[in-house]
Amino acid sequence: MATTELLASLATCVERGKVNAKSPFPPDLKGQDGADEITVRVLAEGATPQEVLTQALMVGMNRVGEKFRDKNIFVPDLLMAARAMSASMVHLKPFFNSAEVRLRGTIVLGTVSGDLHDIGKKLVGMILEGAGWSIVDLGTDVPTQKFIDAVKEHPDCIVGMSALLTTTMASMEESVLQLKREFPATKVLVGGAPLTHEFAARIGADFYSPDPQGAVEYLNTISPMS
Amino acid sequence: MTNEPLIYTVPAASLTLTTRDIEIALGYSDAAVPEYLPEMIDEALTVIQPLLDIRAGFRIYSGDDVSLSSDALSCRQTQLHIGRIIASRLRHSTSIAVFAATIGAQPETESHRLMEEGNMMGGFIVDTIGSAYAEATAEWIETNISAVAGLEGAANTNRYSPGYCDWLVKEQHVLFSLLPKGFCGISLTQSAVMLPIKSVSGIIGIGSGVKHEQYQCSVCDMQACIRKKLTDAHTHTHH
Ligand code: B1M
Repeated sequence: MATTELLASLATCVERGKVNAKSPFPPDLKGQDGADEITVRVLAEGATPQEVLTQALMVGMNRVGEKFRDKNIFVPDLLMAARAMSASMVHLKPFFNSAEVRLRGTIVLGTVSGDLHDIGKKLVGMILEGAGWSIVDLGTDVPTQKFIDAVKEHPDCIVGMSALLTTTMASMEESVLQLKREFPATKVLVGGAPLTHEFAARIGADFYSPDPQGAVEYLNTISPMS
Repeated sequence: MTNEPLIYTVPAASLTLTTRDIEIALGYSDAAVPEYLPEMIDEALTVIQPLLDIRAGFRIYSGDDVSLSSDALSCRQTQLHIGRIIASRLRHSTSIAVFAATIGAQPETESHRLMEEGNMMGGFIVDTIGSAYAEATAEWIETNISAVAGLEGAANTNRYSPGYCDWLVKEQHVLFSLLPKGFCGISLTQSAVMLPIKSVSGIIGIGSGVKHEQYQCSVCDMQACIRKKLTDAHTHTHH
């Protein structure tokens, strides 16, 4: 099979959550190679790790993000896709420290101070990773200073904040304010169930998205991948 | 009607959650369920059941202890700013049951443990089952309050919680001041988050002139409703 075809089937494996040949899911791909085997083959055929990332994994994950946004698939499907992507990434990891794989940049993610919701933010991290970003997850109940320290450590990063309750939207406002005071050029994205565009604009965030894919699309516009 | 706080330890077996209930909670109400999921759900149900420590209770305020305005409720000297929508639903209540319910902290801990181990799927399913049990416990306590009201020939309203309609989450502090400290083992953080996380709080109106509404959201036109925003996003993008 030519590398272009292999890259296309790898994208399908990610989209459908086909991890490896042993995996019985999805049933219509049973017995066929999965993300794991196809990655080995396509690298052996001469595709570069960067091509695997941009022309297969990111393509597959983008379809996943769109379907998730449109409620055509749900979190378990997304997690299966992420498993398939990880099975492929194992083979790319050795190239990460060399110049052979270039990511788009770094995103520092965290759930704001006083808020303990974790899963939504983790899912956002997975989808952004699938879009070619390196994720620094600060966890939940993140004080403003921790966001600021992370920006000092990753000066060109973009910051993503999550809040799931109206009570903790107040700490989001405070964190965005202080972060922007210290680093006016750092882009800040916000999300979470009770947020609105109006709130995001009022607190000075650069972008609000109700779903992870919206964040991906916004980030693509500010950091296109060659 | 008793004004003493009542707390129940609820056996998990009295809250029947089926595999199908969890599939729906995971989003698959109409869509085809992936083949791997039912088995994973059953496994997670087995994991979570021994970890459940379900407690629920309520305290009823009645008679002169209760007064309602167009947007607030007073129980003794304590005023809850429940907002106009909930206040209108509670109109004609002669008693108010303040309730809280929890499934304990262990399912949450287990969910975190699985995710830390790299098993996001298992952790997420356990988390979703925990949420479904928390909702089922709230339902259970509502049924119980209903039975207590029924004994006196009274009816009850739906349950209403801080964070819904125009009742702010920060009012959780006021709501919990109407219950004994550490009620059902629940504590509140400064930002009004209940610990354990899988907990629900709220109020229910009781009286001979109140009724339980079937479709309460569909008749409400609150513009800034979070729930409406979330459901609209769903219907607009559903194919
Ligand atoms: C950086 O860029 C980005 C971009 C996108 C970003 C982003 C960042 N961060 C998130 N996103 C987005 O992408 C993620 C992936 O799709 C999403 O992340 P989520 O975290 O939203 O998604 C998760 C993967 C799945 N979503 C969830 O798990 C939350 C679902 C809903 C239905 C929900 C649930 C299940 C529960 N709850 Co409750 N709960 C609701 C939720 C309503 C809803 N439909 O969202 C919400 C969050 N809850 C609410 C409330 C009020 C409450 N809950 C409570 C309780 C509960 C349950 C226990 C029954 C249960 C579990 C809660 C838990 N924390 O584990 C109470 C609080 C609990 C506590 N510990 O203090 C209580 C306070 C009610 C009460 N008084 O008892 C509302 C908050 C609104 C507000 N006013 O603040 C709420 C929006 C429901 C509503 N009113 O419509 C997006 O938000």
